[in-house]
Amino acid sequence: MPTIYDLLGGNSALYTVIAVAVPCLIVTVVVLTVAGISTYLERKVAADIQRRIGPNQCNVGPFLGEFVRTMVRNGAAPRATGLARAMASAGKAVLPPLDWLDKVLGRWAPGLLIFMADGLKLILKEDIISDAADKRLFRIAPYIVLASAFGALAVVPFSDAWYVADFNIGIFYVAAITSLEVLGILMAGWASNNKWALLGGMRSAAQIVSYEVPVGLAIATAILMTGTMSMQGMTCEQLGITRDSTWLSDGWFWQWNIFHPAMFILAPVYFLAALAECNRTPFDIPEAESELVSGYHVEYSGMRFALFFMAEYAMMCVTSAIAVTLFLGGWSTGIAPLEHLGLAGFEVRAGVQVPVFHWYGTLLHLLFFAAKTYGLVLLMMWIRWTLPRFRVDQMMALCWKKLIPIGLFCLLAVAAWMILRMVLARQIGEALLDRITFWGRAAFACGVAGWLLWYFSRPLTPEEEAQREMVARASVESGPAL
Amino acid sequence: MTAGTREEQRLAHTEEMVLSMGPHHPSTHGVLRLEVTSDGEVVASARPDVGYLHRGIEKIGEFLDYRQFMPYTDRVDYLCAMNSNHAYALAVEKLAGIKPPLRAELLRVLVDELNRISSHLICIGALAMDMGAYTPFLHGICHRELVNDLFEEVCGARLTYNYVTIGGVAYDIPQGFIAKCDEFAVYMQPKMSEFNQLITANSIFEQRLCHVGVISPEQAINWGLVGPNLRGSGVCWDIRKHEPYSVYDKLQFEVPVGDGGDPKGSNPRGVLGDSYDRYLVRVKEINESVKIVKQVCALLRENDKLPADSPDRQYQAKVPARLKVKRGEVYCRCENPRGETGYYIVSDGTEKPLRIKIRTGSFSAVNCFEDVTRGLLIGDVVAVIGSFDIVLPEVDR
Repeated sequence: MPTIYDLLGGNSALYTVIAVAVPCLIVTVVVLTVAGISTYLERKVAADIQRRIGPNQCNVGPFLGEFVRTMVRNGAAPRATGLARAMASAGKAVLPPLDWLDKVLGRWAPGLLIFMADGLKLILKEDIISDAADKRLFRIAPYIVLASAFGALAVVPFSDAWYVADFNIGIFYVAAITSLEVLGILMAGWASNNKWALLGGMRSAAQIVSYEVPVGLAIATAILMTGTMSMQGMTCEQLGITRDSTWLSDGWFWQWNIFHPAMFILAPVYFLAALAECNRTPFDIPEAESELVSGYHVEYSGMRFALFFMAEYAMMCVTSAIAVTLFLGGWSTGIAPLEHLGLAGFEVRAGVQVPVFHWYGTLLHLLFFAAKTYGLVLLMMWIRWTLPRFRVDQMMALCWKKLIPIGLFCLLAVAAWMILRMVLARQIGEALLDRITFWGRAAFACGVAGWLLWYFSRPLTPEEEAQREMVARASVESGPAL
Repeated sequence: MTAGTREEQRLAHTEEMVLSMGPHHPSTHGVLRLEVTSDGEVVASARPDVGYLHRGIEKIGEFLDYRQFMPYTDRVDYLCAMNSNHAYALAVEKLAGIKPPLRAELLRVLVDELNRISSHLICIGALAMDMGAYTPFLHGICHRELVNDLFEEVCGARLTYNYVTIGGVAYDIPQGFIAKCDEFAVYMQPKMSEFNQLITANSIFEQRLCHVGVISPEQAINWGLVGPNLRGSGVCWDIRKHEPYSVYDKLQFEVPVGDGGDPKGSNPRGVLGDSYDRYLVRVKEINESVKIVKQVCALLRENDKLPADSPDRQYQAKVPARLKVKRGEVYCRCENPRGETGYYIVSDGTEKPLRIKIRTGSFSAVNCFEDVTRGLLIGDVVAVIGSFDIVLPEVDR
């Protein structure tokens, strides 16, 4: 059977363009949709925390169904054209599945389409650029911010076989491209010719540049740990499956980076720094609605504002995806039998043996990657609606006095561990050492899990008991709002 | 932190920037405008510019008779209209020599304290929102709705009540109202502990407010600060306690004062008179008000047992239809959520006052703003505004 590769004339220019453009397009569209759904989810999370209902009106029926019903009505008019009648019959066919979708989504995700309504509204809004603004920079800025968020998607390993590109400096590329964001924000702040926007831009520059240091340290430590800069390589390394492994021996979750003691300390450091890079609470200092009105994008309206908005949510997804790749085993499921079930064989890529999976394994990996990433995104939302914001100097102090020293310590600890490993491997042999670390990590993971279990099920002290009872009683008495 | 000397600024080629903060800034709590001169993030001076909400209420008072002015007192401070009504009514009663019946006094204190709770909930919620936490504000609003529901039942309005009249109150309470107030008091106490877990105990919140906008007791007195702002600086002065009016002398309650820097106190990491102290005083006052509501409910239940024609059972004293007040002047003060509110009324013996002057707590708070915020960061300015609990219609009138 001729493949697309053959049909387009082998290694032609056309093939190259299509091979690059199609995956890019797919990833962009998917992530844009996910970012849109994230805005809906954020509203729902906020509503839940704030004892409200949140969006629940913009469902499939009222939003899309009305268009289709109008189409059907127009087709039934006495002097309807042929086109109108054709559209009406098409509409009639669409209506039943649409109604079914309305029922299901209305039950499980009421108001889901509000992100589409929001988008529509923002597109239709007037595009205002103030006379005093530097118009060229003002127009470019949102695209730079958006591009830096979406550019990083190029190397995100969504699954073992599904990614746009995998280069040997993948994580380095991510660090480089995401740091372009600050350029766009500074441009927006400067070009708006508004003092609040300028203050927001300056705050953002200081914040993002500072927090790039702990992010860089975390990335460097992960590179040291896995011995590769390729995102796929890092994931495969954490998966740990080699030709010699049996169906129970490798592919467990304690082989993920986070279950190394030093990395366990480093993971929260990375997560905090990632929050700061996304300008999320408690680091939403550049936007700081109650201080700087809304910071660097105060002068933006309509679709240009929407670009900043989308970039924020895309950036949340991207940094979470990177955190998952660096610490939480990327797309790996963490359950060895599951991994071996989907395993098809091995392949040598760039001199390294990598596992290849059946289509169902790949799909499973995609699901696990999405679940882990979205878990972190939800954590970011939870934090946003719970915590207040730092002050500028406190934010800086946290970075330079706490996160960076901890990051440096972890980097040194991992480096020392790697040297120790080399020495030990020479003494007792690679294979035995691998088994020892394997079981050591398993014990560590079990210890962490056990501690968590104990912490949440321990007998409460009398004060805690009283407090919990009070809160529980309060929430029963008030019931849900409305 | 300071803005640096002129010489330093010249060497670093920095310039001070004038920022117009307000009158439509999200956290100036209304239409306050601050002319902030800042060197980057550091505030060199923040000069308040008031008057955007000036409606000439005091002047209007000279053209209305004593009763007609009552709805205007609602608009002086819309977050605690009941207390404003009460303060004005007390002043006129003192001038005209009217003694309201016991039941009216009890009802006044009940609505006063409920309104104090709702006003403080807005203040502490808004302060949390200024600090970037949205959730506490909405929780506060949620509890305040219940107070509004109670007020709607008693007088039909949810914001500007016009409930207290000269010589009593406008309506008696409906049946079952005391039980509902009791229920609210029981509901509020655990809710405050939940609120404290959510935001008061949050270490970021504490860090943002401790050591910010510190006012020493002497300064507080000199600037004429009143109410929770004064008590936050450790000065124990509450009109309800020290010059009791209505039935406050029969009630048991405490006057919370700031205790910043005291290792055993509620603000061990701060210093006496900082923003966190002012915030904590309001949180504690809510609990005290809940206590008062409970006591007043018990007193009202006793009052209900009196025969229907007993003078103590009436809710309105007999006041002549055309209220003429003898020539003279009076100053009467009252403890409102934003501190001492005084009404100074001069009467020339006609139906209309010759002059009404209103002294409000927010005005003195705005007054000292420039000195308190000097050298702070822009984020701190917002904290200080929030901790003063300024309500702009009260400043401008």
